[in-house]
Amino acid sequence: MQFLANFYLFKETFPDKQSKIKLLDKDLSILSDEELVVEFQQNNTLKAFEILVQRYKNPLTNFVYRFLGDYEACTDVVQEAMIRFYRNKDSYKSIAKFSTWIYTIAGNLARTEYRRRRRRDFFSINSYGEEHENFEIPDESFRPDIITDSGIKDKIIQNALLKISPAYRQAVILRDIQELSYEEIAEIMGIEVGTVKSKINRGRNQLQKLLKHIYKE
Amino acid sequence: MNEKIIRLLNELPKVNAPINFESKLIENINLPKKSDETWIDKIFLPKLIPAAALTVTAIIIIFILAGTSNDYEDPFQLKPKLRAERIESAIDQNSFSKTDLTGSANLDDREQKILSDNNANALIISDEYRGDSDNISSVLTQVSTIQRISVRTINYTPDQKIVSAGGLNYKIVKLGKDELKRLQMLRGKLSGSVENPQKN
Repeated sequence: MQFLANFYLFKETFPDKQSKIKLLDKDLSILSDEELVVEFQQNNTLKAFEILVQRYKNPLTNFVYRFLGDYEACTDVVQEAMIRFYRNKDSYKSIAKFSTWIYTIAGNLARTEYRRRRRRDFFSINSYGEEHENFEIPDESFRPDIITDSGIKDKIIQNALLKISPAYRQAVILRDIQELSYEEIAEIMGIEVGTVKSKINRGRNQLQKLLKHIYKE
Repeated sequence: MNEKIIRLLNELPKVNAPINFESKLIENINLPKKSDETWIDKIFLPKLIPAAALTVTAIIIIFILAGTSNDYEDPFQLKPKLRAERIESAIDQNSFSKTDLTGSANLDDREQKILSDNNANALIISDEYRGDSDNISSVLTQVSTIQRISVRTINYTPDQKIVSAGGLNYKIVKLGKDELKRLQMLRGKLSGSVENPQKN
């Protein structure tokens, strides 16, 4: 509604087309997530979709990476989440928050990927080649697990996260890393708030046992 | 303790999406939709596994229950058939031998003919004694066929088994010494009377 009001306001104030376009972009960016989705649903405004992608690509990547522990897989999962949002935009109902909706999609895809990886046998890279040579993964500048995770401590924490139960892991990541509220986490995971707190507590306890040698330092 | 864990998790560096994320996304959106599931994934869906397990369990239970019925010939279920040799083994135990029972080995051609005319391949021992043993031969001469020899059995019990061989039923009986003697006497008389019917 705010968008429409602004639209009619600048239409009279700014007859110049270029000015109009700039202001339209600015108006879109000041809209809330839910308003952008409505704009995207009703007018198929690609710009609204792009703005939402900009807002959520990094938080979702962080969440999925901490859950799966693999950067390549996490970018694929987040891409797939955005594609599903694009193709099924009409399935979003403005009753729920958009962040809850997109986190739910990403969380479900991450769990599916996790289960698929568990089922399959991943061969070690050392088994390739007749002479058992080690093949190095090509260095990519955007791999945060190499650039940002400079400390061994971060890797140990990430490994400990991967060792706890997936349900506890998701709850702990959403609460302690993504800093979402209990109610939002309950909606994302489809459980009660009390269960969320219980899972978070158990996840933290498991992490505590795994990381006791770190925080003693 | 939990606060330390929370602090450790908060201090983890944030992981960002790659720079070419949007361009790659537009490319993927414009690609045609493809299904990642193979036919194996479609069959072994996690949702279908409980139903499949239930179906397999039901089939196994039906198979086990059906296996207990005796409607069909199952060598593991049916009791072994009683063979004719059991008659011999039972008869050998102070009872009649099959040869004696049928009398075929001790009968002459006339007796054999009588037996075969009546499709009788055995002499049935009944539990009821009819007539006097001394008059057996006269009885035999009066009837045209030898179908029955009545012998009193002392050891007969109601639950003795009946076996079938050659379309006829045999009752397995155990005879005492006295009975056996009596039977042998009767046989002797019978064989004698059949050979010379006019003598008596």
